[in-house]
Amino acid sequence: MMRVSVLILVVCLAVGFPLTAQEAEEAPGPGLGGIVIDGSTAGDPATFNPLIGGDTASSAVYGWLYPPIIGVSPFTGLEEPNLAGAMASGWEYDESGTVLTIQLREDISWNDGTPITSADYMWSIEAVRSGEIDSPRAGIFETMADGTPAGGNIVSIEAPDDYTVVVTFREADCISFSDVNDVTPVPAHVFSELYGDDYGAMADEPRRIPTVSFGAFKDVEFAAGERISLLADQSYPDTILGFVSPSEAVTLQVADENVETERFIGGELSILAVPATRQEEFRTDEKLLEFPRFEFTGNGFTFFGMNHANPDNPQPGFDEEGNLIPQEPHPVLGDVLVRQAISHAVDMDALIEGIRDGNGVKVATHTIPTSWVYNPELQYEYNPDLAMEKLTQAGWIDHDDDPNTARICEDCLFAREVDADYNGSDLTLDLHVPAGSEVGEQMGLFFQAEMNKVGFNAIFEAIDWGSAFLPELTGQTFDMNMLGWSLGLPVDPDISSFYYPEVDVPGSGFNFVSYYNAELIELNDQARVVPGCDTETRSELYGRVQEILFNDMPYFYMYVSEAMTAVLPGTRNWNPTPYSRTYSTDAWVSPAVAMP
Amino acid sequence: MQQYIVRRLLQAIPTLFGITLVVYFIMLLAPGDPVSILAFDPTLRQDERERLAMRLGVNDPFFVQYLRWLVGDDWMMVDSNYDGELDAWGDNYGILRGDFGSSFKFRGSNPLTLIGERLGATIELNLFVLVFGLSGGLLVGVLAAVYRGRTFDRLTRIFAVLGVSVPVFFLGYLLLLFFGIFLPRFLEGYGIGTGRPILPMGGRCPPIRGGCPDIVERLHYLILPVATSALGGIAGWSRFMRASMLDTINSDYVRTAFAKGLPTRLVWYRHAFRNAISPMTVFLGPAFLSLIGGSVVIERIFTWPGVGLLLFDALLSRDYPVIMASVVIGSVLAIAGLLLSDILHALFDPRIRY
Repeated sequence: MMRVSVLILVVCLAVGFPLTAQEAEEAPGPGLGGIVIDGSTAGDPATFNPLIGGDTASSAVYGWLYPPIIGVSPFTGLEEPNLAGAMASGWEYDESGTVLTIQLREDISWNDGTPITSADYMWSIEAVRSGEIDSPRAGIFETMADGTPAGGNIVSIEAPDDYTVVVTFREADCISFSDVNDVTPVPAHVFSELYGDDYGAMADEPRRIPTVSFGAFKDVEFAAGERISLLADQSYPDTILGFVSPSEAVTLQVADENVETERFIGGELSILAVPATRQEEFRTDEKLLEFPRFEFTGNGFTFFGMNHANPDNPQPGFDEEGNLIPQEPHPVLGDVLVRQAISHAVDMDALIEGIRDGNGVKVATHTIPTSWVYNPELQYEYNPDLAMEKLTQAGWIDHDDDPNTARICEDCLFAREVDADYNGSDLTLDLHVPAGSEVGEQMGLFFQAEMNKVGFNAIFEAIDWGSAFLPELTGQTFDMNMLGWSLGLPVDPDISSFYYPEVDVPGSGFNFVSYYNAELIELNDQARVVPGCDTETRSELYGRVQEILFNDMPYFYMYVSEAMTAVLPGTRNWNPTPYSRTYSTDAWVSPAVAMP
Repeated sequence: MQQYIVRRLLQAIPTLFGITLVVYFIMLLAPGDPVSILAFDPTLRQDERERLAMRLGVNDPFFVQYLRWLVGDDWMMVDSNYDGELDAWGDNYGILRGDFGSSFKFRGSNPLTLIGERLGATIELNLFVLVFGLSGGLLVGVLAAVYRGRTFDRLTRIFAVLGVSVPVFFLGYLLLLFFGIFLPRFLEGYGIGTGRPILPMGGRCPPIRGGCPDIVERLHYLILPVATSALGGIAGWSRFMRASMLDTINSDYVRTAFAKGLPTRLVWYRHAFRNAISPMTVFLGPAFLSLIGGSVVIERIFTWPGVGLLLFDALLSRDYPVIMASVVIGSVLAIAGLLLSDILHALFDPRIRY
């Protein structure tokens, strides 16, 4: 989720002036607002260079130091012009929708006084496109500089003058707009002096400390395995108060979210994304009620992926000539009636109330309540009788009139279409969740119990993420595996990364459930090329996309978490939004953290 | 002795080679691969993932990967632009020529550099653990032998069983919660303190700029990790020391010393102790070299920025070069530690000849 992480950071940093100086409380003065300390479980950053980085820890650092070309509003979650910390003052497409002209702000400079211009963006573009660096972003281009196909949609990027950038796309595509932001501008005058056009040399010093930056904080101090510290940059022009209030922003490494929570409660951290399991405590514990908190609907969803194809014979979506490969159905989940039966068998309200302490909003498609295409009317109906009826329709028979024992196949889909000997087989399924999350394991057990009440023999197991869960997920050898997607910003309902046959590749593709629906793909393709990316037209198309996903159930879409963020008592000017909990950091007045 | 050392060093070469071969094989055999973990990003296309796999060299057969790691690839043609054609000579020299490769996770950083920047923290922690574990263990062991069969001896036996059997991750979290949360809150309830942690709940230094202050100013950061880690050492060392003391005390020369009318304290602490400590030197070599080895669990719980934490992250992200660099260093240290033990043993015990 590299791009996701990057985009989240963009939101944190590249925002407008929603918290105005008038709205903000007074702060003691530049650099007098205390030290802001955030915890991180992401480990050390791989690099401070945005052109070769991509991991969460790295982007958390260079997100403070370099501007995105287009900012994302923390209030709408959408790209907007003239946002603080971002370069673009506006943009427009030509009539064909393939040429995007971006106008840049003329009032911003790097902290050494050099104006930020299109040359900075172009240096980054040329470096990434050169192919000399291992940039995770090279795939946005149609071809690399040497003509090697790169598979992306951007044909060219040019800078006719210092404050204009023209991007030409191979075809009009609404989701390619975000590609422009995948490459972060760097101070060209510094980087060209350091590396000239030997872009590959950047890889030799991934942790070179940036000397010139643009943001509320600067001057990285890095202690391996421990912390990253940045000092306030009072030359930053886009501050909320007219100055940067905190003196320093520190990211402190912590072992895990439990230790992070305890250290926050102990006063060692300024801010905490409260884990779901501790949120109720923050709502009810007398001591913890002192901590200001913000609750909002999260930007991602949890689901059980349901493998449509036979896990004993995983196949790619396409053959080498690009022809669709018909896949053998999953013995149980290959039948849509069985998948729908599961949706009726599990009481999601009980799960959310009982296991997640009410934390969660049910969803039944890939869109979340904060999305502009969300349809709240699509909800799974909890109805065990209907579940059993659908199983019977699907050829899974209750042979002993005991719903608690496993049904058996009597002319079920797999027996009909693949192997008649399958008749008489039990309705058995493996349910796997990644080990290490108590709540996740409880939810897995709950699914097992609910499914077994209607005639499944569901076998739950929590398995190690790296050595077991991930290999069987990407290898497509699982039955039902629980996972969560954290969505990037801006949230787009495009489904090409998850449900297209191109990404149904055993071993690596993200259509690991081997789902294919031609109508769905046609609708999504149409939605991507809507002239001007008109949201109303796209909403109509995605309305139908959601209906198809709701009925076909490639996933058992479960819930969107209710997120909670808390800060230390006494923190001022903390104005979180559902899209960013830290956009106003430069205005914060943070109480002293505990240093025993 | 010199001949013995040379012979042992020569024997170490195939041992080391065998260790790397077996570990590399197990590492690659283990489920999960670096590309799935590093590129678990639905927005990355399949060809980008394949390019990453080629760049990391993880698509090659086992022996090719191992050979590249061992002797480099500057003698073979490689696909430098990942287009499927072998078009250039490789540029890795292999560990036999001092090239430990490039970290997968840390974007080309040299694994030795990564280990080097954490070595100080690990040595610092483990030195304290060794000093406290050893001195505490010896003291408890001697006293347990002196007061054998009495209450103190029985208590140390219980302590030893607990010390050896309580998992360090459990004890670590327990101490963390007790000194970080429960005790401060309890005291605050009686108007003592502010409710803030009495001891730091992690890290090696205060989170302030300018690097770590002098160790004297941050000794309190060491208390919890050292206490957690040293407990097992004290328990283990104390049992060895007690047994060794009791062996010695039953020997003829000690009986003679008592018969000569020497004061009990003199017999115990001057004659018996000095001889009883000799067998303990067998453990000293590996113990000293474990200073550099790192403690994965302790460093993780207390976010101690050492080699153990780096190795933990490397294992999770399947960062093969960092894992292998750690293995090579660990193996060299283990072999050197055993050799050092033998040498120390010979030095302390004149009866031993090689």
